[in-house]
Amino acid sequence: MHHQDTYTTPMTTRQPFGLSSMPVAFEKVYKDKEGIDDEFHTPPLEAFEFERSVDSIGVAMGLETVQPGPSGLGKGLQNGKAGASTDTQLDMSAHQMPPPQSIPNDTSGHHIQRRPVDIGDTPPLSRDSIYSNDEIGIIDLYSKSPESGMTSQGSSSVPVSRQTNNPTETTPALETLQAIPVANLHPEPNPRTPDLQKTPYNHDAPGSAISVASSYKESRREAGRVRSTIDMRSKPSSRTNTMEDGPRDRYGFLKANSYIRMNDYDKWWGKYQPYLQRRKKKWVSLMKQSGLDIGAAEDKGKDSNEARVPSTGPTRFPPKSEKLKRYVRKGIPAEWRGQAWFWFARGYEYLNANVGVYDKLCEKSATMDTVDAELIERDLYRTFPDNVYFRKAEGEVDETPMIMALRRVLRAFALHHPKVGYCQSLNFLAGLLLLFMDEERAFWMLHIITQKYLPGVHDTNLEGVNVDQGVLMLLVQKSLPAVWRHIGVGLEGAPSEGMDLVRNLPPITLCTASWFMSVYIGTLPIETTLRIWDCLFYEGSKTLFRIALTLMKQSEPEFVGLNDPMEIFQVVQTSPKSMLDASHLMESCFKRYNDFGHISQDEIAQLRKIVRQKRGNGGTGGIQSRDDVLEELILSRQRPTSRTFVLRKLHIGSNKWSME
Amino acid sequence: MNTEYDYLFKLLLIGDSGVGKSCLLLRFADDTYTDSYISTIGVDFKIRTLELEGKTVKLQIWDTAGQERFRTITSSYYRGAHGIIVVYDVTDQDTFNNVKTWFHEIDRYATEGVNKLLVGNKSDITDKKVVEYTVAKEFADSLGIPFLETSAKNATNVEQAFLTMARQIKERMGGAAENTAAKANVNLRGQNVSQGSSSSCC
Repeated sequence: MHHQDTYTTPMTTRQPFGLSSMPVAFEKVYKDKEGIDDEFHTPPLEAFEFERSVDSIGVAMGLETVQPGPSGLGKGLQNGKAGASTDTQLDMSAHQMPPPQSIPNDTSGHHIQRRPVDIGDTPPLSRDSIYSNDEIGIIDLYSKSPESGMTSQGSSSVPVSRQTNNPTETTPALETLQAIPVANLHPEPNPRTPDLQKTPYNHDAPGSAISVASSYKESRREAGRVRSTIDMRSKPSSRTNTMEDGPRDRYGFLKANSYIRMNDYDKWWGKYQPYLQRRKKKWVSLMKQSGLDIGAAEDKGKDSNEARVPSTGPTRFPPKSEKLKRYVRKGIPAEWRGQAWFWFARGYEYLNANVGVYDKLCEKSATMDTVDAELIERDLYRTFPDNVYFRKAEGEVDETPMIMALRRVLRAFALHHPKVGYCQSLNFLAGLLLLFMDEERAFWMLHIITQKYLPGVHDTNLEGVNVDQGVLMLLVQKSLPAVWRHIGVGLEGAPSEGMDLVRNLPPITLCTASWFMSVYIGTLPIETTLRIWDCLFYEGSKTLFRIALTLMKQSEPEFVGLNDPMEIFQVVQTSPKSMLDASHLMESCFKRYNDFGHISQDEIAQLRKIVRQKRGNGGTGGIQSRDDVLEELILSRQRPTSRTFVLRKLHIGSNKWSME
Repeated sequence: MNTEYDYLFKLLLIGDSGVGKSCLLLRFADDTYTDSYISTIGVDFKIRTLELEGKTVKLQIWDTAGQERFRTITSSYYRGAHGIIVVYDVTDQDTFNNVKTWFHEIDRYATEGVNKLLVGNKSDITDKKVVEYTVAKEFADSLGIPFLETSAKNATNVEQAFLTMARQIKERMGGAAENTAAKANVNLRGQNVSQGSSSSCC
């Protein structure tokens, strides 16, 4: 709480963030106002990868041929030449930095450490088999050849490609591992390539990995070792978590749960999977039409002998358009999600402007001994306990690399955002991100989500939650009067009449608050949640409101005959959990008539403002969203004058910054 | 719909993050246990109906997020609660130390006279136990509230905890005519209580 005063001003001035204005705003405002960044923005000292800087500089200079090692940042830039050129202007900031000091030992140490945690961004792909891979890799594993299922998954080989610089190790992974980004960390082995499973289990994985006190570097190093533990861990013999075992989806989650029966899942997946294949083809052709690379790694096989990071797919996406929006709404291919989200949320602008920041934060927070750190510890295993990458099997002492990465991301975030610190639900956000991208990117995405899409929502006083719930209630009242009659009541069933709903939020908001805080993780089945995330990063926070209204509307038929507010509450809370049909939900949300697709970001922005005022600026969470003001900003061209950064950008004239 | 019970009691589970509130609720409502429970965001709730001294009591139990910042949004639900269960973890001294704060929250936000219960969970982990029974008991006695050590994992005392609570509330509400009680506590008791009560009298 004591941070609030300090941070009120910065938060306010950080308003001019936006989908499009973000980089500029970031460069100026973020840096200027949040002292912490100023500090980090200046040349990173030791925690800096040499290759990374080479990447940045090389790319910034248009040296597309510079394809240095698989560094953290380089990955993005290297992934495709097209990608590299787009990112050019972004690297200006990096360019302005003095060259990093490369400390030989440290540097090499870093590579090894970094590899294992670069979990998401570059899954080895085998072209043409994106979905068939999926099918073979996981679905087959469990549904069709259950006898090999758990074993195969369990013994998934170490994704050595990211783990070392040794190209010979990279190659097999490249050829054979599965496409789904999640698999980056522990790619699902292809049952047809059992040789992969021979990758030895590393018994050296030290139990001390759990040690919170262990230094950041050590932790990362250990993460590398422990990483192979998961292979062992996943073997049926050691996975004795009785009732919580079962067929898993391609992200490592259990397919069935208390809300979804296996039969229903299979039935739905039988239809959804061909749909995904069709969509993937469309995406590929869209990318080709746009002249964009669909993923360097897909073109690289054994020949990628330079220590080049394989790609998860495109590192760059077409400029915004109606068509692209439609495509996004219909779902981004799962194996491209990490890249796509990062791209649409403009993650590169943060990543590239803050080279080394994450590493530094990790180091600084390695010995963190605060309430936040303690809360993070409590939540690590309560994030995705049923996910194979996050859970600790019985009798297992080692932490999974995912757990370690999750800890680092959350701690770094808490350190970086004293106003937020650690807020429960951030664990879900970070956890999901980690399934799709490496931890540094996950960190920046977490930053973007909490600053841009959900301003104030995770702040200490949660005022942003109240604001957004107030907005949601106003929208329900206006668009769904029938639903409002049910939910706009107190727990005692008292009518909402005369009630200042913005100040005294209806109890249902306790339920819907978690929808926003967790961005629908846990609210809906995972595939459905992912579709929402696709739209969120492309379209902005209005997506969250639209979806909430759609969910309410879909629950409405179940309200019939219910008078008890508690029963209504239960319906609202429970019915989304079985909404497997992601496409149906998205279609309902965006259909042309009688839908919620008309709710604009402007409207949300205005409502947020009104609610904030009505709530009497209660608390410091009452900040305006960055993306709310973006259009205004862009239209008026009142970009914060951000030194040469802007000029260069404009000069280069990349579409990267343009509004759609 | 309101005739299926004589009483409707609303209970609230509060306490530090990770003490096992959700697991207690899961044990009580569904009689299951999982080691892997996700952190609760906002609130969750479950319903269980039980027989108590010949009456049907419907318990509506709210499970709240333990993190401090969530108090701002969960505290508004204290007011409507008939009983509040404060949970700590017997293997974690801090969670017991914070119990005072939680009781303070109750005093601040809940209806006066609300029934309280102190529960020390995870009693199955005997080798790591740091909060002695006697210490907690003494503390509870000083406040004049009942105390139980429970284990959601092996189901020890879980049923008893909720039953104790329900019985207390029922006593407080007055074993007399439920409908008058309902009327007298119109703010305290839900709409359905009064409806349920009156219908049971018909």
